[in-house]
Amino acid sequence: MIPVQAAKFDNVMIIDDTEIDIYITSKIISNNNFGGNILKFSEATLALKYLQDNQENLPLLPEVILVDIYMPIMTGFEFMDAYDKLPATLKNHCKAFIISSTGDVRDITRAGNDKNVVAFQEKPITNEFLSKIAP
Amino acid sequence: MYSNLYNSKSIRHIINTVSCLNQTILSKLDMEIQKKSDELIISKKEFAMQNEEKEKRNVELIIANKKIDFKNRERDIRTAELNIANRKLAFQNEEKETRAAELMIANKELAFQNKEKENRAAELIIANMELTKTNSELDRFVYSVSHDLRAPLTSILGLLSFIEGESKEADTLEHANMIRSRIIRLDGFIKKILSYSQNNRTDIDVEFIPLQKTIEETYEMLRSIKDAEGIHFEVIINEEQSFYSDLQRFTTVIENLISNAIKYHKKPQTGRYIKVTGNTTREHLHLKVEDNGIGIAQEFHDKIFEMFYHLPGKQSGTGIGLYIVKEIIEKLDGSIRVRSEAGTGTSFEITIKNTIT
Repeated sequence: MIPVQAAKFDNVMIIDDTEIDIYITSKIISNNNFGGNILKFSEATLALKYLQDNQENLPLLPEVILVDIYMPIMTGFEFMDAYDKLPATLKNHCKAFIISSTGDVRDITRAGNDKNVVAFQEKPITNEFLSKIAP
Repeated sequence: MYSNLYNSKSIRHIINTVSCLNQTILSKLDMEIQKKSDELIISKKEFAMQNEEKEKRNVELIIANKKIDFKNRERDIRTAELNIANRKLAFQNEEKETRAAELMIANKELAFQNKEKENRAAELIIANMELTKTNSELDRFVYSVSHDLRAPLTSILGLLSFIEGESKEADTLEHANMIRSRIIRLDGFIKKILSYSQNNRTDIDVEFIPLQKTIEETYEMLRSIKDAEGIHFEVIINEEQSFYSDLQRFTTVIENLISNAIKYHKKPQTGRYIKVTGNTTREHLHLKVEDNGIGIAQEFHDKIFEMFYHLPGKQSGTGIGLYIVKEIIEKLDGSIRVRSEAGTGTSFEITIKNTIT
């Protein structure tokens, strides 16, 4: 069944190495009609590659990126460092959020200090959190 | 023949002369005798005197002899005494030698003990280094375990929110709610352990702290707790002197004290309040967090800051909040004291060093 109302965003990217958490985040996104197309990545390097490959193709790029911190191979912070080197057109198109279960203040502070990060959100994401993100 | 004697006169003369001569001789002899006699008398007297002298001398000699004898005897005694003393000295000498030998042994033992102590000190230094290492490893372990424990909990909370949103079954919803309350408690505990380990692991990061604002924001965060409903909250801080300290640690202290004040308030009652008052000087921040909640009996005042100490009662905490508060305040060169009575309320008085750089 085609949704009656268009989703808030066309593309939302989730980067998380925990499958269940990808499931939870996607379900909350779907429940809130927050994203039409959910791009799921369990590895930050693959997500980065997707962004690089499509940096000229705005309709394929996510308007919202939800990235976890603690992941093998490439952490959320390492991902954000690489993200910073992407073209401004892409960065202007995307809003990046750090989503983590970390209780470490340094992580939260670091996330807050990253100029490309809109906000830090503790897991699990909530309806309220999604409703606050303006298109 | 006599006839031949010419004259008698001559003879007479001769006789006279002879007689005279005789007389002279006799007189001379007499004189001699007298003289001799005198001499003898003198001699005798001298002799007698000499005798006397000799006797006197003799007596003196006897006395002297006796004295010598006495002295001799004395000397004998003295000699005997000296002998004894000598023997004693010899004995003492021996003793001293023995003692010296003993001292030498003792000395060697002391040297050995000293060496042992040095070894022990070296061992302690190594042990200390090992303990420091273990401690920091333990901190890292606590940190990492806490984080790994939290991650699945957040997944469970996410899944729970689906059940709560989708189920129409009253029982299921009630059970989901029970699960949530247990998870929140467990999560709260893990967060506290994390905050404890953070206090140990991280350096103090001094910055300006807007006190009134920070405390109000902390309360805003906590007021969503169900128990906070109907509690009047008031913050009055005299910030005459800018206060500098570790913001994160300060917030943790305030968060713990306020959430305790909320949690241990009297339940259904009016006029409930939590009041935070304070002032700053160049040296310190003095802060008081007071409530009119259930209070803490005097006998527990020393215990509440101990790790994992729970006050008896149904409102059981994790036993770590006030311990962290105390640890943090100590790290911030401060102190904390409690004034409380069961039933009337509690006030915590804090002093924290103002680290104006």
